[in-house]
Amino acid sequence: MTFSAGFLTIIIYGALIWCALTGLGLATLLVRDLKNGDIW
Amino acid sequence: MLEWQSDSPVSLEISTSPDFSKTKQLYAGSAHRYFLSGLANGDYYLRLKTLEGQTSTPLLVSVVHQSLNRALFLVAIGALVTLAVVITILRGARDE
Amino acid sequence: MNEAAAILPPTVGWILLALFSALWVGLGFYWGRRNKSFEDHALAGRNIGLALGSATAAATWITSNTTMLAPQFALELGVWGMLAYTTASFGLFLFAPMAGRIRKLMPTGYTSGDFFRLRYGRTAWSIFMVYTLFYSLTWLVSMAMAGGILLNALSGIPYAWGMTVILGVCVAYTMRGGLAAVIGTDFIQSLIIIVGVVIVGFAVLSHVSVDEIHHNLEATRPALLNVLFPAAIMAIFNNLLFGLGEVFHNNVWWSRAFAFRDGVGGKAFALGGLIWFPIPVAAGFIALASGALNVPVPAADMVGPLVVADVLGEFGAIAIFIVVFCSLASSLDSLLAATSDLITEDIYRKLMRPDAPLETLKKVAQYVTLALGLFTWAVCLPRIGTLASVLFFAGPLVGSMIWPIVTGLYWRRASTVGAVGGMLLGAGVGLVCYFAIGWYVATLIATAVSMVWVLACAHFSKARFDWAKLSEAA
Repeated sequence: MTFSAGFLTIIIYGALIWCALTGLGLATLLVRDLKNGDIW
Repeated sequence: MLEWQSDSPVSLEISTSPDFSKTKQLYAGSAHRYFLSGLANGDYYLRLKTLEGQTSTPLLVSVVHQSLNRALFLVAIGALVTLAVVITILRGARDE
Repeated sequence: MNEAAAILPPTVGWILLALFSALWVGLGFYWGRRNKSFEDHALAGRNIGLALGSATAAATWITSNTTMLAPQFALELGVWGMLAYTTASFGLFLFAPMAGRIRKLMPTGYTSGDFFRLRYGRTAWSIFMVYTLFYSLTWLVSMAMAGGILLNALSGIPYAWGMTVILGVCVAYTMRGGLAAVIGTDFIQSLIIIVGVVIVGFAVLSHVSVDEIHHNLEATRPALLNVLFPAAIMAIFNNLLFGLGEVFHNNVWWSRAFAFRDGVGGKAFALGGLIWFPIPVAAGFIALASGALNVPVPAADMVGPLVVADVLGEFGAIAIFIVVFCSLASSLDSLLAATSDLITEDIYRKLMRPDAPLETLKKVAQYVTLALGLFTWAVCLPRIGTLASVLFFAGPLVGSMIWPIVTGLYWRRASTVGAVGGMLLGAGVGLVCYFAIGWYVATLIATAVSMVWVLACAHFSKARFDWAKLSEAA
């Protein structure tokens, strides 16, 4: 039983896109915190 | 990990039979080292080949993986312990 | 390509090193101006918001191990190696609910040492201190060494110089800026790491398709694709529990639980876990491409940088250099800060000078940071390779602390006998298994043994702990 090429495609692209989204999410969160003045 | 000395580019070949009747090329180029991994159980023969077709004496590598039953047994214990941790944390404080 | 030659010219390496060093130290000094007392220095005023909180949880957990070891795991243990590595994010997910409870029970706490002392007493506290200092110091040493070795391999900067600069920079800004500087730089570092990993990942995929990678693996390294690869699946839970033990006990994480604003802790750790979760796959798959790209890999631990440099040339090498530098700094600084707080609070304040004013404590913490840096530097300088492997002994130690901590936080009936016995028995049996069977069972067995003992003691225990004792007046 082996991992298929399709599975490999899903996890690799999934991971990269997930990373990109969290990067954007973090930046958005920072801007939100900045606006509310509660960074720290 | 394999290491060799050569002044010219070589190709690294692998086969499951000592007479190299069915070979696969792992690498071709001028590096001197190669990290070998991910082989299935069994005996393998490795040799280097120069561009002119000269070959080195074959090297025998035996691959024996850990037993699958033992691995699954460990997975079972691990799953149990982890599950217990998760349940304890999610249930939270129960006797306050 | 000649494996003796570095990927980047040393001049480029030095310029990058100088730029980022100046940035971190500058920011550390800038943020450090706000810190008046030990509370500001160690816990950034207990008022960290969600954005910085999530980023610091993720960045600290992304060590050089994540960006370097994930490709190595993928090459050695295949697809399961990467997937198993992602389970380390469970440490952050599970610590999320605990962080909220820690802040509620101990509104004026400083360290995880405070918890052990107040919850289980001096004996358990001493064992905890030995375990955690062993773990923290070996981690510190192994990371500083990895830093020197990686900078050397990437750019030819001599090992001693690379190690000295990276350690010196982290000590400088941690000393000046305290936790605020650590968390502030963590945010920038985590963004750089994420962006770097995404860019490098897509760039590699533009050179070789997943189908080609899969085809090459099937032909030359079939076990890496095997769903039932024994070596890989038996390591899954061992790694997961190692990760849990690291997060649950270490002051790196507890100090963050204390430092996050009320109500932020749980969300921040959960988000941190989500941010961290895809990184091992995104960084690790690059190793699987080495065969399809015909990149020779002289040693498993250099596979990531080699593949990237081969495919993307100098641009890729610069990207890797920056990502590695950021992931090293984001963990080194946290560990320096948290360990120095632990020594200052638990040893200096609680054992030697209980009446020390908070201003003095801040000074002490700064000197302890410096001393830790010097100690690490002195140990790292001779570059004894086997030293880094000592870190694996820490697996059974941290695994044996999982149950005492979890039950201590949630169950009134969790007893001192249970905690002390669990830590000693678990670590003892775990270490024996480490040598008798192998590293891949040590943490698992240690946690299991400790669990059985702790649960048995709690079952028969007549003690009912009074939670109010945890919130000692500061």
